[in-house]
Amino acid sequence: MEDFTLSAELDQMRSEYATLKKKLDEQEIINSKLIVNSVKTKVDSLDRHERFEYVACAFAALLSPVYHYTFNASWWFCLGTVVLMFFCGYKTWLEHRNVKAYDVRSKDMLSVAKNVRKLRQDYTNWLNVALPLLVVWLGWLFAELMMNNDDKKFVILMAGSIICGLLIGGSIGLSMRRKVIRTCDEIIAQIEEN
Amino acid sequence: MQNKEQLFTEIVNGHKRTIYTVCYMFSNDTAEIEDLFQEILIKMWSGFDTFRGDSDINTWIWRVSLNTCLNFDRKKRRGGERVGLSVDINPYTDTDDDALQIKQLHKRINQLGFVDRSIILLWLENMSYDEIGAIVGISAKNVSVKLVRIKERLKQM
Repeated sequence: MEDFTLSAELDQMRSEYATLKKKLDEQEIINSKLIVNSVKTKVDSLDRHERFEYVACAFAALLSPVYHYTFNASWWFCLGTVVLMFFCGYKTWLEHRNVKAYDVRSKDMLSVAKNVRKLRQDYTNWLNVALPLLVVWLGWLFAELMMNNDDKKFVILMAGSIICGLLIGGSIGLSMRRKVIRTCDEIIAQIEEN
Repeated sequence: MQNKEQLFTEIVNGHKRTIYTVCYMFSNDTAEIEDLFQEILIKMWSGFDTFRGDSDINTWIWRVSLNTCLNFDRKKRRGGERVGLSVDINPYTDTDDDALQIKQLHKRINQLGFVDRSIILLWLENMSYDEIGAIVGISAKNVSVKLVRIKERLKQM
């Protein structure tokens, strides 16, 4: 191995680094109680966000009988919705589990970057899975709506509500997806800028 | 629980300089440094139970700190809940010779890419090539090659 240490620039860096360490050592940086309080608050907040995502999926699954009672959708459709929601929850957990916590605490930096790339790829490809599923589910939903209801006004009202909900939910979902992909790009760019 | 908190606080107090060094070397914005510091503590706290001393605590803290810097989600920290840690120092705002030296170090290091920056920081911490390789995810031989390239780049600055 080549000797890395014989360099004036590096000697200077060592001296500058020693100055930084000295300066940091001299200061009382943080209050011990604040450390624990701050960490607990943030962890609780992150846990809340994570729980919210799973609760949202479970809530949507539990609400599926509403389709039966509001527009006579079949129980098969309700069951299909429940399965879809569980699949979405599982897929989200699968995509995030590596990047979120375990990697950062136990893996080396390049492995973390590799998992971020994987997360980005999963998010990019997610529409390939989600769009066909959504088309099938919507087709099924509209078929159930039209076949089981004779009142045209009611059908139009329900279809309008579903489309509105779809547009709002879809734009929120797409915006979140874009944010995750952008963040992944930033991380990958940091790694690849060498 | 009380013991865990006490032990965690002791560890953080014992290694706060390491964590701050990483934060300062990856940012020169006081608010961002606070956020980064907080984020590193969160990752340490949440991994504290699973850390069983398989590796040296110092190596673990470096690993968590560098990975957190790499993974730091700007949007999350801006929108997230924050509890101020009352960081009273910022070496960059001082005007004495020491501050100028630290600024110079920051400037040099920040001209390097993320991996090179991490490698040079670990080298400045007097870590062995094996330890650096384990944290970054490359072989000791590769660390040596990268350090030589970093030296060349530093000469050109």
